Amino acid sequence: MSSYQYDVVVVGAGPSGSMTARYAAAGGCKTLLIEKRQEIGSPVRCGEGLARHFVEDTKMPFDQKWVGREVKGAKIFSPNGTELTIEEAHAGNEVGIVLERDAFDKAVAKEAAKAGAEIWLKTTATAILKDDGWVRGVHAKRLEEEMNIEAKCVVAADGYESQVGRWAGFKTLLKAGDITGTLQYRLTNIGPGHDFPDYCEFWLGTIAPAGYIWVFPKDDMTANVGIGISLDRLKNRVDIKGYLDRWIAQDPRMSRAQPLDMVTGGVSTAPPIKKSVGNGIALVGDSARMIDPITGGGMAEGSATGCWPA
Amino acid sequence: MPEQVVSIRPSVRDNGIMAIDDMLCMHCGACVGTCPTNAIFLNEVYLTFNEDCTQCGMCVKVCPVGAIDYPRGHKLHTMK
Repeated sequence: MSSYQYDVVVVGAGPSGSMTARYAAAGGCKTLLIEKRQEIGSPVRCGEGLARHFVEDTKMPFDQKWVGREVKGAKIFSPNGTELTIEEAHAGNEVGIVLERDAFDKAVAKEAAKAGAEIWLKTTATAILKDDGWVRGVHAKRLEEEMNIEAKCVVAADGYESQVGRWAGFKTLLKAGDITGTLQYRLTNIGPGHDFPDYCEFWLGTIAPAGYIWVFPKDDMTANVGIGISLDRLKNRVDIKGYLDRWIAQDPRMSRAQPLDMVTGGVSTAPPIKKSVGNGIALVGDSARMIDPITGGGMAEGSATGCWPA
Repeated sequence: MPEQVVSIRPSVRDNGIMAIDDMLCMHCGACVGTCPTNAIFLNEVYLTFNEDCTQCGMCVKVCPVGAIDYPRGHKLHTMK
């Protein structure tokens, strides 16, 4: 079995993982970023809304390639039909960009590569290497090759379903009330109304118990239309899809809308875990229950510096 | 009216612990992160349950597309 030595190994090439790899490599660590899929950024599992300041905070070079649409603000719809519009002037830098996530993830990975990180695709972490109470690396499989990747710091950026964190003994289990199941369609041929497509919409109420329905415009007639519902409000199989389909059926704008793709996922709405750093390991992004879909540079820098004491 | 030929679901794998419909599964991992006993294993091709499963049903409800169900014969089994 082959063996490799790195300063930092990052498991998962989402935005958090890539951002961590970027800052670790820029800080002078020999960094490896592994991703189990064959393509970074695909399939997209995201509503793709992002506050503009994240881009500035993380010093991502702005590129129109990963911008689907820039919106003027947000609209929040209460159950009785009241419409609250939050304009750019009042919302400040919370006014968002609707991303092209597949392009965005690749752009962040590109920055990691530029900083000197190595990237391996089709590489799955299957266990962690532990010694003397310290995490010393990961056991991984790349295509047919099994290997030990020894590292001074392992960064778990493997998302909501984080296994690496659980192997290392982090308490990342969630209660039903802290879990949100989500389903999203990218709908096209959406008609006008409610100033579509200039605002990101959030619909509240019993249409989505303990959650909401979002409409994030991608272009003049296309939007990501999704729903999130708290698991403790769900009773039966396929409840989530039923809620979203019923809402779409009653919205006149969507009467002729057709889907282009479908995205599902689980989201944690629990507060971030108290301690995301252990001996030789750090958790970032969704795996640490940091539920902003994109982890900021602060977290990335934090974990990059986390490799030095090791 | 055309005759309906097949009424079984060949895409369903039922190992007696849980039933998974591979045609519906989107490999999103919602169930994996939800599982309190870490009994679900997901690679990019298929989902499996092991004997650590307690049939608590959290994955059945969280699955946005209904790809997971209790096994055939279980009183809460709903797949047709």
